[in-house]
Amino acid sequence: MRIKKGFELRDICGEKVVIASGIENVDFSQMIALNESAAYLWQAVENETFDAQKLADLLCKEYEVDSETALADAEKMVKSWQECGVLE
Amino acid sequence: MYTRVLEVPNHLLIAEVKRALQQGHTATLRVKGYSMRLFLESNRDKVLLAPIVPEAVKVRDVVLAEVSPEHYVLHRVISRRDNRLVLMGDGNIKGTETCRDTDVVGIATAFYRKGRSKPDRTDGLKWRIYSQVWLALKPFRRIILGVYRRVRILLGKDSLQHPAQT
Repeated sequence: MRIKKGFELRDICGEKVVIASGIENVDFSQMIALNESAAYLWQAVENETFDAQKLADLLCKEYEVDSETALADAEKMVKSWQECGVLE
Repeated sequence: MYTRVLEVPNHLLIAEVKRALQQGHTATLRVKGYSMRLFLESNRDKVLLAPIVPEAVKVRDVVLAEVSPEHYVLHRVISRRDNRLVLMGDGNIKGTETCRDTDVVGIATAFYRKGRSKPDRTDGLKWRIYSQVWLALKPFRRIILGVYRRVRILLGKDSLQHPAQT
């Protein structure tokens, strides 16, 4: 899977926010806030294909977390991004 | 770790909207409040905003404007004298706002209603007829809006608590 084209990570009011941003239109009607680790993952895989395992590996690299917890977190993350409709 | 849909305080969000419009983009915003009834419903509908030069703002336009510091409304222009504008929400019975044309952040060019992906453009026939009829019915606004609200309460779409007039 990968992040759909047209979704952009921005800094809005000090929050990391994903927003649908085309060449013409910026859609403020649905904004998705990411916390620090989610934003880190987003930036790391923004332009490539990935799966939950890859996100888990990235988490292990950046944070002090065991691989089992990291994978569980990564799976949750993927599910929540899917629900927000930002993955394809 | 979390992902959530974000609610941003209006004046901060509009600062971002303003920036996008200044860069020449259009911006889509969710409508909040009941002051643009009958056409627009809070949280249900979206508005497409475009940049506009202050001098081009004219009567009948729907604009997003800063009517007092950090207080923004999406209302219709009901009069213009030089650079002074008077605004009034379609769903308001009385109560107007005044501002300068330079306080206009953007002009509404289309509305996405009821979750549809096809917009109702403000240069389209539907919006123009609606505007014509609705503005002509201004003396009866209180009655129409009252009936509309009661019907919505009966249908379970509105709560009994009176919606804020914003």
